[in-house]
Amino acid sequence: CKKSYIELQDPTKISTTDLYADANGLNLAVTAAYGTLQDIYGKGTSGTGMYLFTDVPSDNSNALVSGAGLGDFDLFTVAPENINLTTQWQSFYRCIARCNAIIARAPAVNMTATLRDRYIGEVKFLRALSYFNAVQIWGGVPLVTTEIANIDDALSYGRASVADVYAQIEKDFTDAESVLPVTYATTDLGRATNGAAKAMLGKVYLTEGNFTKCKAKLAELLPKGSNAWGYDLLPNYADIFSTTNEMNKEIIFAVRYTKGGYGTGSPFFNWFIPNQSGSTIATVGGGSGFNSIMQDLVDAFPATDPRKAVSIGTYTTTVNKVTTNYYYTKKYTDVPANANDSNNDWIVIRYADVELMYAEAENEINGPANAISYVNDIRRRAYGNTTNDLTPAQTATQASMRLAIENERRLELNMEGHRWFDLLRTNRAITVMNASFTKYQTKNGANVIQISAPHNLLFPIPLREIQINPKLTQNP
Amino acid sequence: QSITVKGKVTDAQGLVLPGASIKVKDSSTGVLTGTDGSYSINVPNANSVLIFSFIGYTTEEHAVGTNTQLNVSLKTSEHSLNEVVVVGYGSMKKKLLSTSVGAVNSKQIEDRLVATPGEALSGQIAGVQVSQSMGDPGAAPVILIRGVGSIGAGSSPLYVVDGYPLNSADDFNQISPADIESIQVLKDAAAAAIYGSRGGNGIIIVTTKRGKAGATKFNFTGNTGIANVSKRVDVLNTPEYVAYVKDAFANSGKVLPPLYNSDPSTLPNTDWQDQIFRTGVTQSYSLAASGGTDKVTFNVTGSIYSQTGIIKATEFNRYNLRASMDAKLSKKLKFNFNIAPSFATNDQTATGGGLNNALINGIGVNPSGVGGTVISALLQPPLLPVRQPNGDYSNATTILSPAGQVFSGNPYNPVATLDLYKDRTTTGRLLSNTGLEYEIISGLKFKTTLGFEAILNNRNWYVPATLQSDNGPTANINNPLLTNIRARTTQGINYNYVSENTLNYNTKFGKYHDLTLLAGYSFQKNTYNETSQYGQNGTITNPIVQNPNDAGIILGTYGYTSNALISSFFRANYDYKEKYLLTASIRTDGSSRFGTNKQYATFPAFSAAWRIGEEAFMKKQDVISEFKVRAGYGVSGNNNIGDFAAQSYATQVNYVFGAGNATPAFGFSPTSLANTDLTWETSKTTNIGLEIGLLKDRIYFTVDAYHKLTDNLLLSRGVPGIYGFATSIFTNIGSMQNNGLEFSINTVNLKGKLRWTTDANISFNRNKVLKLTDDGNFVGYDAAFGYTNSIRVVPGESISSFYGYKQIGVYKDAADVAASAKWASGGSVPGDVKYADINGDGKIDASDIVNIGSPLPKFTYGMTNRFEYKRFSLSFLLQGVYGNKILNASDRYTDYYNGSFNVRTNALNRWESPTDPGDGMTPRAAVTNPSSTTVVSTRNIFDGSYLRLRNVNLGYTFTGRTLQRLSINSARLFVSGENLVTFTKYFGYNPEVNVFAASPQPRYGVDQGTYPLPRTFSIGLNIGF
Repeated sequence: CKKSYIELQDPTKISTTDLYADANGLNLAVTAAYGTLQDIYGKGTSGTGMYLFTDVPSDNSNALVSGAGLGDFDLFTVAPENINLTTQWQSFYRCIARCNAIIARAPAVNMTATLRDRYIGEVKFLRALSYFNAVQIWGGVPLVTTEIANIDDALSYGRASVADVYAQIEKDFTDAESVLPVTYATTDLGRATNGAAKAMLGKVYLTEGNFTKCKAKLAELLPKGSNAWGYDLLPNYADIFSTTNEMNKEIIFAVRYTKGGYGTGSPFFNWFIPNQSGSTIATVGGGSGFNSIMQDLVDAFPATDPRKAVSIGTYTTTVNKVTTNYYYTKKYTDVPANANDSNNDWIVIRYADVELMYAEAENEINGPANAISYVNDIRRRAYGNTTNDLTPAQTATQASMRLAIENERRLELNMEGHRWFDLLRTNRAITVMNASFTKYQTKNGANVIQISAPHNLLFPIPLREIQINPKLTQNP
Repeated sequence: QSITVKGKVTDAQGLVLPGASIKVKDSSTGVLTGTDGSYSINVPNANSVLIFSFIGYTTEEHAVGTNTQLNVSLKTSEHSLNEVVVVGYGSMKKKLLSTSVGAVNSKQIEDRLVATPGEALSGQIAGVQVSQSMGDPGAAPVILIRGVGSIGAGSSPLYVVDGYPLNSADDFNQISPADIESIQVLKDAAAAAIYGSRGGNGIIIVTTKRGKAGATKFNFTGNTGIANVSKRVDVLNTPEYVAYVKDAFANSGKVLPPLYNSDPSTLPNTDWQDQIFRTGVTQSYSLAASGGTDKVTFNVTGSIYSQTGIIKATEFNRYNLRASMDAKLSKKLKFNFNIAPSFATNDQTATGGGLNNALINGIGVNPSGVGGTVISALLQPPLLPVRQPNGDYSNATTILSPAGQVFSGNPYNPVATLDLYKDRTTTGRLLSNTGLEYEIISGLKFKTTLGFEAILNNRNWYVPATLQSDNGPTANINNPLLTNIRARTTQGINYNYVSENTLNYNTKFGKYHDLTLLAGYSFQKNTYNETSQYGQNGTITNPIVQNPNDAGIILGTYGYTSNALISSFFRANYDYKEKYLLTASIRTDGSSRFGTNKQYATFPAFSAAWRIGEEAFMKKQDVISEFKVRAGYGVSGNNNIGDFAAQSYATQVNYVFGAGNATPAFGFSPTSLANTDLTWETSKTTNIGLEIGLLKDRIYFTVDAYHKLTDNLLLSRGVPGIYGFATSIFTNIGSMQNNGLEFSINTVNLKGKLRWTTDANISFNRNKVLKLTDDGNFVGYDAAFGYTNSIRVVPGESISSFYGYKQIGVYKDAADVAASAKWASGGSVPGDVKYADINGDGKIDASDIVNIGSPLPKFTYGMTNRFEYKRFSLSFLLQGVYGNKILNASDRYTDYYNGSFNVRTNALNRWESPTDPGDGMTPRAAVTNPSSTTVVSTRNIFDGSYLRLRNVNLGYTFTGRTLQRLSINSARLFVSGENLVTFTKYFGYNPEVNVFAASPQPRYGVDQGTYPLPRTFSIGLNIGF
């Protein structure tokens, strides 16, 4: 027998061994790790993305579709079977696995140490970002930091403690911060910088309630305009979201999307506009109504706030004298090349968020006095004047200041994937949501929805994962 | 001193038998009768004995003696044990078999108006389950031999046509049934092990018709029929639907859209099933010529098969030619050549599959989300017209949704899809096989064959600017969207070659010992190249231009696979007095598909039989004519995991970086990790058989019992999400057994003027998964989108069980809700589905999911009765399965009650109020439904048992002078019907359904809007001249 006769390989594909063999291969692998960000934040037709965990459950938005289990995220009826849980879980760990493989294999690649360190720093940033999102969705999750060699290895992981997951997130962001550059060549715009690592680290500390560390870390990014990265607030709120102004100086880290049938387009425009709108808003691909603005958010804006018109669009239909208004976010507006194929980036963290987080930490440590100016920064940019600064009543006490910051974050960062995590962080989710449900008489069946801790504060671990690996325990 | 003997061979009625064989006993001399039934043969001396044989007739021996004229009339054999059956790499007398082999001959296949030979096998052989799960024109059935043989590597048998082991089952399906002389099914491993790694699921051996010496004979068969859908699914009409939507809106406290307040009798009342189904026409014609000299014989058949489907826009046409030649080049050298070109066109459309996810889909890089029309026809609100006054197709979302949020999602107008969506495949095939046989010394033959097959196919898809789909939900005749246009063309080229080389030695020693030895070496390789071009965003809306070139964006992909197999094998057959029979074989295969550590494997087999009926003490009575016991053991394998599965490759995952809107950057990521230990799935089968013939075999009874143990199961196993590179990977894991019993009986009930025969069989197979993973966990599959892990393979249970909640009713009223366990994700209200709280923890959650049924039948059966009276013949074939369950995934929509799409008439029995609780099992209608209605439960499970009148054939044979004057030897007119009646409790179109028929995974019995089976009535004519 000729042995070579049966030694066949696929000549059309790159073997995994070849992929990690040199600097170019490693570069491709790092790009693929960034590619998972689109899976995590939203891609194609699955309908799953971070918005479903950060906006839909909150009082800002709802999913006006009951198919594919999206509506369950509104009504707090997400069953462990819900396909979106599985998809999101797999997206996070796809990212983590790609990062782990690069971290494990990069040291053996013959290349310049600076570039190698940068690649490792970039994927540590991505890994930390995945874990940070996952831990806020599910609590403690399996903490995988090395390459999984086989199934038995994969089955050996149970859930790590929340503290252990945060320890790893801090370590990864810290490692990334130490090796990542301040800026990249323009062709590399969109890669994680050390500024992004600092901003995320600040957010992690804030979420953990470590206000001192948060304040210290975010202080490194101050003051606006004259920091090392050139981060600043844009004069005009609407410009932040314009597809002709991507990666502007307010953007610290964003998931990048480009339309044109490359499979790298942004789905948010088609996803988030009303499915009743046909081709009147999106001339290509129509609307899906996955993430529609609720009356509660519309009502939260003072009529004078210019951000309302920038953020909220209204689609009105009148059929047989019955008029219905649908509200949708205008932050992701771009003519799609194909359905779910637009240019809008998903902003993960921007400078206004940093200022508001800094204010929040400062208020927790020292009270309102030194926090006020950072919130007013945001308001002055929005209104273009100082007459709409925080009122004395809002800044009177630490407690009132907390609510002022919460409200400012809700308005400034609306529909950008922050609200639910903000409510969780500040332990306000139960109070705020139940009040909203009562006010708008939001029902599941005959009863107004009321949520409770701890059941409604974490999402179920996907049933598929528990069934495959019984070591994983379900959330209460 | 040689003597010339002449004569005529006729049947019992005196009709001549052309092509009958006359052989001199214990020599290789033999001739065939000519068209007039006459022969002439030289025999060595007066002591010579001539053997007269003809398929379907009892073989007779006559001593020559002083006769130079010997006319013989052969009797129709009841069940001829001298019949020769083809086994791998050779043939042998049926009576000398020591293994379990089932057979059908051309008589059992002819006159059937079917596209594929597999359909004609249904119900004919014990242990062979033929499931026609889809009724698309030209669609092939799924054939399972002795149950599910594998978890993840597919259970398709190996097909061997005239000695050529085919690369794919589809090549078998494209053989014209008219070309087939006989089909043998090697069921147990003792028989199948000669094909080693490909024998694990049994082997189907096809022998095509060959020429016989004599004047050229022609045969023409024409058959034409009409077909209709055999059944409808009952859905609500407009008044019922309006009442139901009103109820749903009232239950959810929402304002009813005004349309629903109009008088229902003023609204359209469209029967959408009427709109997609039509009467199909099937036509089949074949013309054959065969004949030759004693040196060279030939057979040529040309056939045409044409079928328009019972769903609009579906059509299948096939043109086959098959030519064979056998030549004696010299005394010792024989040559044979077969060539079978064919050409087929297949127009398909989006029929089966989900709401906006049809099975036939995936036209572009962005799937266009065309809806499955079968399910869309059930879901379309009956109050919509097919078309709007302006010519547009009605569109539920644009017409009804703005009026009041009736719809979420969109069941796209199925008539629009059938009218506008284009999907045509043209396939050209060429199968050829050339053989040379050389007799080195007497009894020792060397044979070499070279087979070559080329399959060229070209598939074109087209979605015009006017078709509503996910990509352009509002596209319509008056609203063409250029960006909606999708065109794709795919060309595939498959080459396959095989070289088989054998040495065969046959010797008789002593007086009664007969030994045949076989040794062989073979190698086979398959390569497949595929290129696709995609055009998106057309430049003009003209529906005629269906070419990707006329697109704004043009993309292309290229695919390649290959596999190779090298093998050596050996077999010995021995018999003593045709009484004690022994067979042993061994094969070693090397395959490119497995890990570098495990590429070779060896497959041994042994079998023995004792024909007790041949013992002297049994010869004293004449009741028992045959009494054979046999036993066999064999090892066979399964390598159907696709190519390169053991290796690890990276695929492209792109991202974007850079200024402005950023620029695409290429990235690559592995999709799985390499598995160098990936190896064969091996089955060890023990088979015990008993055959009893009574009254000269007028009653022939066969029983087989087997135990098949499969280990190293090739399994695409779901892996934890944290693995990251894939959600499932191929591994060898676990073991499984199939135990079975098969009974078949063939009887001649009446022999006189009215002749009546019955062939009946029944098979029982019990499957049990013994072990899967080390942690005893299960492997899950999804029955449909959102039905996660609803199909499970659990150790200790039969493979592929349905898992879900167990419905015990609906919550009757508030008191019932208060007193009962409630749905954990969101609670329960009166009218909601009430499930059993299996673990008694007071809430219904995932821990209450249980086994709710198996799609595997408890037994399958078939029965053919044939009647012959004078010139009339009548046959009917009954076939059925019992005890299997169906999971209806369409009910995720059609039995869901979210107050938007149409639903099944079950809804008429729904819960409406505590005082009007309906049938106690059907939940309330509501606009926002709880997740409890969308999970898999016993609500989705149905009994799939059925009994089907598969085929009825009534024929009349013309004879007489008029025919002779026209030079016609025979003429037969027949009327025939396929799938005439099905007795079943299942409400769906077809209880044989499986939307995953093409999947290698063990997903059986799932219904999600597949193409229904047609019921066909036909009339045909067969003329021999």
